Amino acid sequence: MFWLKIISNFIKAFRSGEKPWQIAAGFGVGFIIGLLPSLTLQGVLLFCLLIFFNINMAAGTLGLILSNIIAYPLDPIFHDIGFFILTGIPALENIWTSLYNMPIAPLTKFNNTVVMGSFVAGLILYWPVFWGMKKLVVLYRSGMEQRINKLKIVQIIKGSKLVQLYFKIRDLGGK
Amino acid sequence: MRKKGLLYLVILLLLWAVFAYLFRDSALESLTEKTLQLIAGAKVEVDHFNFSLFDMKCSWDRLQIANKNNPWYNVIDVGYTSFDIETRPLFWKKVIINEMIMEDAKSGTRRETDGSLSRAERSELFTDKDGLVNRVKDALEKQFGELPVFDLKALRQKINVDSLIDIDQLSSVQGYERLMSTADSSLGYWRSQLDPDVYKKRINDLETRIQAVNIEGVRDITTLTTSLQNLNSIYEEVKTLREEVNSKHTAVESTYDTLQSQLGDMKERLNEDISEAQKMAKLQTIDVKDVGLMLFGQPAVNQFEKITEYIALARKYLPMSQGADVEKEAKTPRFKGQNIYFPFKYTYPEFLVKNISVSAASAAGDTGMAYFLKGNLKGLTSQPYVYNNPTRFDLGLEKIGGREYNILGSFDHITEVARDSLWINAKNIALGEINLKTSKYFPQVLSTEEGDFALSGFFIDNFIKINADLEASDVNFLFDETATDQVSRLVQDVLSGLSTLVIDANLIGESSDYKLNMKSNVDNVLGNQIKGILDKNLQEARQQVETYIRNQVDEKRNQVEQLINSSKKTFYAEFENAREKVLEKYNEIEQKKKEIEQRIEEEKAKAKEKGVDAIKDLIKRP
Repeated sequence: MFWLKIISNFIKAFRSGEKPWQIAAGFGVGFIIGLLPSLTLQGVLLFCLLIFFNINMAAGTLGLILSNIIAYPLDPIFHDIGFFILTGIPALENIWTSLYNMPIAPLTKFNNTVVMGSFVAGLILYWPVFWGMKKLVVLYRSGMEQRINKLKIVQIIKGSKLVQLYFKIRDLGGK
Repeated sequence: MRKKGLLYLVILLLLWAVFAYLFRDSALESLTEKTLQLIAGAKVEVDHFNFSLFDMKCSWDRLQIANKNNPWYNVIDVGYTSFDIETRPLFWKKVIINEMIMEDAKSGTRRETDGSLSRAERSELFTDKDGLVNRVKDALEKQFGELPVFDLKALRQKINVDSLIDIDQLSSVQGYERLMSTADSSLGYWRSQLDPDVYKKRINDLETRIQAVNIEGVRDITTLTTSLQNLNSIYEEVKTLREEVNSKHTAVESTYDTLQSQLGDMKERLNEDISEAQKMAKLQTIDVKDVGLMLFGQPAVNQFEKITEYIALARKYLPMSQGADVEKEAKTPRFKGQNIYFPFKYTYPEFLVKNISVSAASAAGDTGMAYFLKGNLKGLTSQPYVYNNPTRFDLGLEKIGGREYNILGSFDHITEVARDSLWINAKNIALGEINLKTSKYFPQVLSTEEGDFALSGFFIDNFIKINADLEASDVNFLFDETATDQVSRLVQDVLSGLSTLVIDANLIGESSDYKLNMKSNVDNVLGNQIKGILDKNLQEARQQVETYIRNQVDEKRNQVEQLINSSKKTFYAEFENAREKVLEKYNEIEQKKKEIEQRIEEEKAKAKEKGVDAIKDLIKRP
């Protein structure tokens, strides 16, 4: 039921309540955390960000789950990106060496190619994800829901048992 | 910022703190106990281990390490001990302790529980299977097994050599058999090569061809020249045959030389076999240097093995560099990424205690009997090659009244080759009763009041050199049996008259070849006298073994010699015959060649004369 609650909260936030940027920011932060392959200091800090700031946690959790799923097949790409950043840019070598000698380094696992690649990819993708999600929320609230509901195909789908379950989930969070 | 989030965080932190408080110390306590147990080989108990995260301090109220040989007593019992852990290395999961001071340490305290390990715990203990300890053990066992036995009764009896020695397994017998087969095949080959019929046929054939060259009545130069050419061709064949016979003759001679030399070598092998068989029958001649070994070898071996065990233990827990870089490129599977290593300016081993200072006193309440221990251990680390310094220790144990021990040591495992050294000096120590090797001729126990002991040991990889000297006073040898024969009476007489004992033991060797040498002040007197008694019987027993082996081996030798010598005469005779005949043909052709050449010259001269006369006639003619 925990997952249903998250989805319900997310749908609830999507339909009304929090501002679109709060949902988009929560989703974006969760998205970055989800891309990271293991528990790292930067992951914990981003999680604190999600807890402390007034951004949507349900969206953050969903973003985390979704990005975690897509991150797995993308790991080889993250490895290549991380490998290039850590070894292919001579100008950064001194920075990495200094960081490597700081006590904080083992906690960030920055010298791991997949950690570095996925973190950088997460930071780069944050803005497109943020704007995309914000736009989606605005669109959804500005009448997209009604237009979608009027479609014949939607009427048929709504009658199905699966969609009835969806309504039940949605109503768990209150209409 | 939302308050709810802060609340979540506070709850999480509180939960973590409670969890850490409840489980941290006991987990560390258990880890410490388990690690030390593996090293000590007996139960280790740490009471109230405390680790403070805020000031990075560790402490325990009591540490007890049971004596593995006497598990109801502690080998060390340390009271409250505290030490600081360096914070920075912890980020890299390295534990560095600068100074550990163990005061109020006691030794020999009685335990409330049995300190032996359970079967499961014992199975995890370090064993040096196929390692240094076993190699030393095996080598010394072998050396002791080869020592002569002073069994006068046995020496007087006839030895059953037949049951003791398997003749077919003797190296000389096997050698003769191999030589027999070699001789058989080589001589067979030469027999086929030197078939007289072959040579006879060839010589007869040449004879016929020589006879066919007949120049009687021939006055024609051309015919004579053709005959000479034929003769030359036969001459070349005879020359080839002559060379062939000569070279084969040389080869046969060389074969016989080789066989003879191999036969000669067999004599040496026979001597080796005899001495090996005498060794097996424990009939080696008594060497004075063996007396010390036989008398005091076993306790010395026990001590040396114990020291070697400690060295092997140190090599296990203070491992040497395996030649690889300290931070080698990690072979992480794909998708887990790859760790890239950058220059790291800190050299932290996984675990390091820079200095441990120990001060201790024995458990005895009476200070007159108490021991005082003082010492330090520097550079105790799980990665000596990272720390780049050897582990050194210096322990001093003193007792009021003059008894003192001093143990110094260094375990240098910085490189791939371990270099360990150990010095022990003990003065006025109570030696008590020392169990000696069980033998009906020798004492079972050596009892002595006081003595001085010094040991130095060097262990470089597989190389070991240990030197130990003992000087004991007021010695008393205890025998289990009363003297029944000459030898035991002599041993008891000599040893009972001894008041001071001086022993110098020396273990040296490499890989699996370790030898123990011992000298003592009883060697000469005891050795020479025993030798005097045993020599006659020993020589007779040795002679019995030698005669038996010689008789058995001589049979084989005669067979080989007969094979070689019988064929030798025949071959040489055949050869001489062939050589003579070929030479005869050679000379015959030479003779005939000269004759034809002379005839050709004569015919040429005649022809020349005729030609001159004919020219003169032509000139005279008008």
